[in-house]
Formats: sequence, C-alpha cells, structure tokens
Amino acid sequence: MEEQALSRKIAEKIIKRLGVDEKDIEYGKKPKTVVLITPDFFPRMSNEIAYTTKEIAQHLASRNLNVHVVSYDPWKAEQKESFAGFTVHYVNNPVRAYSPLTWTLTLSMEVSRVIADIFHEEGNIDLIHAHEWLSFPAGIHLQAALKKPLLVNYYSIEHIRTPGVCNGYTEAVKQIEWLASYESRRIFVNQEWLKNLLHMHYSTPYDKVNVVNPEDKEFDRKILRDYTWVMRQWREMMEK
Amino acid sequence: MERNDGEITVLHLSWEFPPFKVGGLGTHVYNLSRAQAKVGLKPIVLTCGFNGLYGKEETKDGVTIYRINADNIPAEDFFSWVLQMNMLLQIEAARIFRENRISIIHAHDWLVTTTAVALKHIYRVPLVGTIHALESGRYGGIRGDRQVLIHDLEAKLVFEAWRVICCSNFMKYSVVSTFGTPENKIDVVPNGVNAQDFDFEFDEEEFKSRYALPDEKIVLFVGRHVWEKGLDILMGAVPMILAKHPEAKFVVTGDGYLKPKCEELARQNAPEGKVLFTGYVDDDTLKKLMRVASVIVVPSRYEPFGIVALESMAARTPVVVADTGGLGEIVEHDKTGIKVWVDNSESVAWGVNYVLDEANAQKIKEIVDTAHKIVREKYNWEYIAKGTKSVYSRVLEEYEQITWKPRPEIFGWREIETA
Repeated sequence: MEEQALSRKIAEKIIKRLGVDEKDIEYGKKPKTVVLITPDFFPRMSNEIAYTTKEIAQHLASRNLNVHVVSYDPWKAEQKESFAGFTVHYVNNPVRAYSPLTWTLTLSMEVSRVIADIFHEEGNIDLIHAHEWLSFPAGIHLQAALKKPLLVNYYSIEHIRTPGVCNGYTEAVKQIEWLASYESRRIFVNQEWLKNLLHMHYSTPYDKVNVVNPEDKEFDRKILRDYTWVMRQWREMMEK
Repeated sequence: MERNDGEITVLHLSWEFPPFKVGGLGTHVYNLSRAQAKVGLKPIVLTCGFNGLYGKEETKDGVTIYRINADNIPAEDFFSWVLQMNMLLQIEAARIFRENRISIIHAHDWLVTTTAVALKHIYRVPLVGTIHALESGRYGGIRGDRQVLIHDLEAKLVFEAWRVICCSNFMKYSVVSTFGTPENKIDVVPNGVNAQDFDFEFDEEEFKSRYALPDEKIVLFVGRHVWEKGLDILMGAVPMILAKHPEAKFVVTGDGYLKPKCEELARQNAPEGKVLFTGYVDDDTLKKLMRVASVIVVPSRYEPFGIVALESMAARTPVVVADTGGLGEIVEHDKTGIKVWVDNSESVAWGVNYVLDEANAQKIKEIVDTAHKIVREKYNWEYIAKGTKSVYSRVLEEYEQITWKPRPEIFGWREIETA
C-alpha cells in the first residue's frame, strides 16, 4: 500500500514537472503542432518579441513539439530555416504600406498564406500563438478559419505607447488589441502591471491572463500548461 | 449545412452592395449575382453593412447576402478603414465557408484583396478577380503613398487571381501594361444594363418642367465631379453650344471634389440659370432625367467601361462620348452614338450641336434605335452572367487537374458532401 502511494506521488511529481495534468495524459490533449506568429525574429530583431518567441519555440521544441515560427523578414522572404529544433518561415509584405497599421493589415494576408500552407502540408495545427498586435489580425482570422485556438502575447498596449493620444490610428490599434483580447483563448504578458492594464483598458478578465517571463524558471512549464488547458477547453467547446 | 449538387457556388467579395452604393461596383455585383442565379449558379455575396443593416443573411432572387457590421470602424483614413473592414470580412467568411461548399471566390477590385488572397490560400479555392478600374487610370498616374498602396493591392489581386475579368479591351490592355500580366490570363466580360428598367410610363412634360423651361432642351451630365469624368471639359464647351443652341439647358447630376471649380466655370461660361447642379439624385429620378434629356454627354478622360453610355442607349436618348477607354468600344460613331475627341471642349461642343441640330433629327433617331437594339441583345445581364459562368467553368476544369486542394475533413465539407 505504501509502495503504491509512493509510486503515485512520484508519478504526480513527474507529471507536475512536465507541466501537464493527469487528464491531459489520459486524453492525449497535449498539442503537437504549434504555430507562433511574430513580427520580429532572429537574425532581424528590434525588440524583446524576437527573444521571447525564440525562447518559447526552443523550449517547446525541446519537449518534442512540432513548432513553426512565421515572421517578417524582407531579405529572407519565402525562405524556410531550421532553427534549434523548430522551423522558421519568413514572409515579406507585397504591399508598400504607409503606416504600421496598414503594414500589419496587408502583411496578414501573407502570414495567413504561409500558415495555411503549413496547415495543409502538416495535416493539422493545434494552436496558434500570436505575438503583439502586429500579428493579431492574422491570428484572429486563422482561429476563425482553421477552427484552432488562438493565444496571444502582449508586450505593451497602445494606451502606454501613445499615452493621451486619441486619433484614428491609435483607436484602430486599440480596436485590434481589444479584439484579440476578446477572441483569444488565453493571454500571456511578461509583467504583472500589463495584466492590470489589460483589465483596465480592455476589460480582460484577470483569470484569462497569465504572467510568463523568459527569465522565470517555470517559464516553459507555464506556457505548456496553458497550451494544454486551452486545448482541453477548445476540444470540449468543439464537441458541444 | 447545405448540400451543393455539383453546382458552382460563387462567393462574391464586394465592399459595396445595394442599398449602400458609392460607385458602380455595388450595382454591378447586385445585377451580376442576380443574373448568375438565373443561369444556374449559386451566388453568395459578402459585403459591408451600414446603419444597422448587418448581421443578416437574406436570400433574395437566389442570392444569399452576408453583411458585416461596418459601422464605427476606427481608422486613420479611408484606406486603413478598408483594410480593417477586410479583417472583419475574413471572420465572417469563415462562417460562410463552414456552411457552404464554395467553388470559386470572386473578388471585385482592390478593396477586398487581403480577404480574397487569404481565403484563397486557407481554403485552397480558386480566385477570380474583376478589375473594374485602375488607380493609375483614375488619377493619371501613381504619386502619393496612398496610391502606391492601392496600386500594390491591385497588383496582388491580379497576380493571385486564377483568371482576371475586365469589362473592356481597354481595361484588359491597361492591366497588361500596368502589371505585366499575360494577355491570355484576362477575359473580357462587359458590364450590363437592365434596359427594361427604362421602359415605364410617367408625365414627361411635368417632370421636365422641374428642370427646364418647356422650349429648352436638356443636355445631361451624369457622374462624379472628379478629374477623370471630365465635367470641366463640358463646362468649357457650354458657350460654344449656347452660341448655336440657346435653347440648351445643362443639367449636371452627381457630386465630387471638382464641383466648386465646375460651378465657377459655369458662372463664367453661361448666363445664370442655364446650368443646373442637382447633386446626387435617386435612381428613379435619374432614369426619368435620362428619358427627358435631349442628349447625354460623357466627356470622360478615363473610363474603364462607361455604364452611363449604356444607360443612355437603354433610355433611348442620344449620347455623346469621349473616344476613350470602354466608351470607345461601346459606342460606334454615327451608328450607336457620337464620339468626340478626349479632353477637348470644342469637340464636345461639336458633338452636342450635331445631336441638337434639327437637320440631323432623322439620323439621330436611327442611331437611337440601333443603340437600343444592341443594348438589349449584347449588354443584358443574363448574357453577361453566362460569360462569367464560362470563366468559372474553365477555372474549375483547370483546378480539377492539379493537386492544390484543401483537406475537406478539416473544414467540415465532408459532412456537406455526404449529407
């Protein structure tokens, strides 16, 4: 009896370390193929988005997940690279846009095209994880079209990037950020204060947002735990 | 979910659709989709809804219409509004694809490019694009950054489309020369007009009296007051026409950024009361105006097709057109109308005077009769719907021969097919 209890304890510990719970193992709900959308990625990086995306992709790949990163890079457009266990797809914007907003909205058709190709080639995608508002339009569309759950990462919001400014551009970006916070299944931020800001400006429920930081020891475990949770929720929703 | 027994289900993407109309695009899609339903296609229209007219799915004359909520989309300008509107179109399109087995996506103009391209690749359904006009033609070149954006979206649509439809040979060669598109990728299918819509009874004398004196002859202009429509050219012709035909009365419908300039030209060139700017008029009034006018003038500098010329022919009113673009193809000089030189007020004056001269009355009557006959035969919507149907059939035939296909089980289409 004691032996059985000990075995269960060890099993629970292993499960906990893996970042999944018993139900997930039972139903096999851990995601297999994950697509990360990011406006920036190595070697062309201008902010922390590329770094965080790389960390996530690397950790997921080390757990034997099939990870695809789709990123903008005009010099490497239409190329596909293997990068520490995962694949990076680079796209270019075929439209010469005149603002970050029009750039984002026109780039989204190319991102959708590349992810659609991954989808048809791989046969499935389990999760879409979009980073920052520049990736949200494509993510929102793909969630609706492919019927796959969308998770989003905020690094800042328009309210703090342009404090006190209220014009067509800022309102449009806020609208996209709000829509993503509403449509997505789970939200990641890297700081507690951003979680509060999301709640304050977009009325995002607190329990929908998880604070994960690449510096955090539990970083990958938290991400994978949320992925698995979303997978389960999504499947239950689809079954209904 | 609906089952489609081998019929072609076409998803039209158009930003405007009646009752919301800005240019001729909405009317084109409205008439085309209705006629397509008559020739055995299953048309679905995805468009914008305004003023509360959205979220509805209505089936009217065989056409199913989905309208997104396009009210209150915040945007920095019209162009970013268009792109954000596309984001909403894409979300709604997902619902349409879940409920229908779409065979063809038919995109109308640059305003829906991002949606059309994304849908094509996600669902792996062939895309047909209609280019109604080109930005480089509308403004005589590409200059500002907004124009560059539109130009690139047009190029993308033309590139991604399986086949491109243009309404005239002029447009076909404009696309070829602008984007380097292969000629054999483009089909010419003209626009159409419902000629029977102009056959109705009304008190012509009473109606005319609202715009002109009993002994005056109405010279009508229909169109936006923008550079390419050439209203300023007509205003330049006014004194030359009045010198020979003082009974002429100029009635100008529509509106646009050139209105102040044209009003100033009218003040300079004509006695007071001889030029009447009506602003936008409703369809019914416009048809009646076309019927009571003595001549309709289309002095455009750039005209991809020139639907006003067709409407004039349907209304049995002689038409004077500038020999440009599609107008030059629709109108045959001295047979179905009068052609004049482009961007030339003297030539426009000559054309209008020719029509108003009593000595040419018999000739003009023959022209009007011939034009009316041709409109009924060649430019009716059913004939045009059959033209687009043959384009779709060709595309689907080619599509069947390649391996680029969606996974039906992924989109729930298997359920549709086996229902």
